[in-house]
Amino acid sequence: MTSNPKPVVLLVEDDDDLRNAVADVLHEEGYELAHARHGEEALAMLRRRRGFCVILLDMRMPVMGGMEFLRAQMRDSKISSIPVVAFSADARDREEALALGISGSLSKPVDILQLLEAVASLCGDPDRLELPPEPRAQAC
Amino acid sequence: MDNSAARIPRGRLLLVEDDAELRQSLSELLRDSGFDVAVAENGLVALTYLEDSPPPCLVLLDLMMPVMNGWQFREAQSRNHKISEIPVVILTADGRAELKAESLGAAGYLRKPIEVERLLGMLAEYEC
Repeated sequence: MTSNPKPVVLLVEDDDDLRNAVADVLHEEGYELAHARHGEEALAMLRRRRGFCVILLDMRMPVMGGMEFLRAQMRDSKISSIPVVAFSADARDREEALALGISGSLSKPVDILQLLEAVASLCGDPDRLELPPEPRAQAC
Repeated sequence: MDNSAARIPRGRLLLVEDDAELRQSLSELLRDSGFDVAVAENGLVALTYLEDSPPPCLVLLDLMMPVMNGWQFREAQSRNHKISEIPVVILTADGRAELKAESLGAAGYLRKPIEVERLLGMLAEYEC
């Protein structure tokens, strides 16, 4: 069974605490979530799995940072259309990322209401997306 | 002709929305209803417009936009006394609309997808 009823949010962030905090909030809101600790891990995940509705991208990470990730993503036609929202404490990082045509940016520390708006505007509101709880019971 | 409500000239609105399709459909609908509608694709364009133009009676503000989002727009708006009093209604995709409107000091909110009747009702409330 490969059906995946909810679109998946990919969170790319090296800070464990922030990653866990954001993951908790998004889970509570009803989103399905995948995480990566840096750009390279994110690229591998995006190439392996489908159904991502947005990439929430920290700009400063070890191994592969946000800008390098964005350039690699854009060169790969299979994943280049997935919208990205970048976050960084540095306004210049955000401007640089926006210049590459990403969907939006958020400053750090991340405001949770802004984060939820970004996800809802690109993935839809999970309350409205939710499928009936037992669709398979009817199908049998 | 009492049924020609659509032709009664109404107030000026500023619609700030990055989604080109939604911007166009909403502005057309509002123009058909008699409003004078200006549009901006992000907060920065909206700020520039407000600086140089007669104030609209209301700003309809999307939150998630590139270049300058709705929060950044509100911050800049509140710092500029020439435009800080212009009421803003936020357009939000997320369920916590009321909380967001409150945190932004907005006059009200509309959930996306926008219900036309609610939008027109809200504009009537503001006597636009």
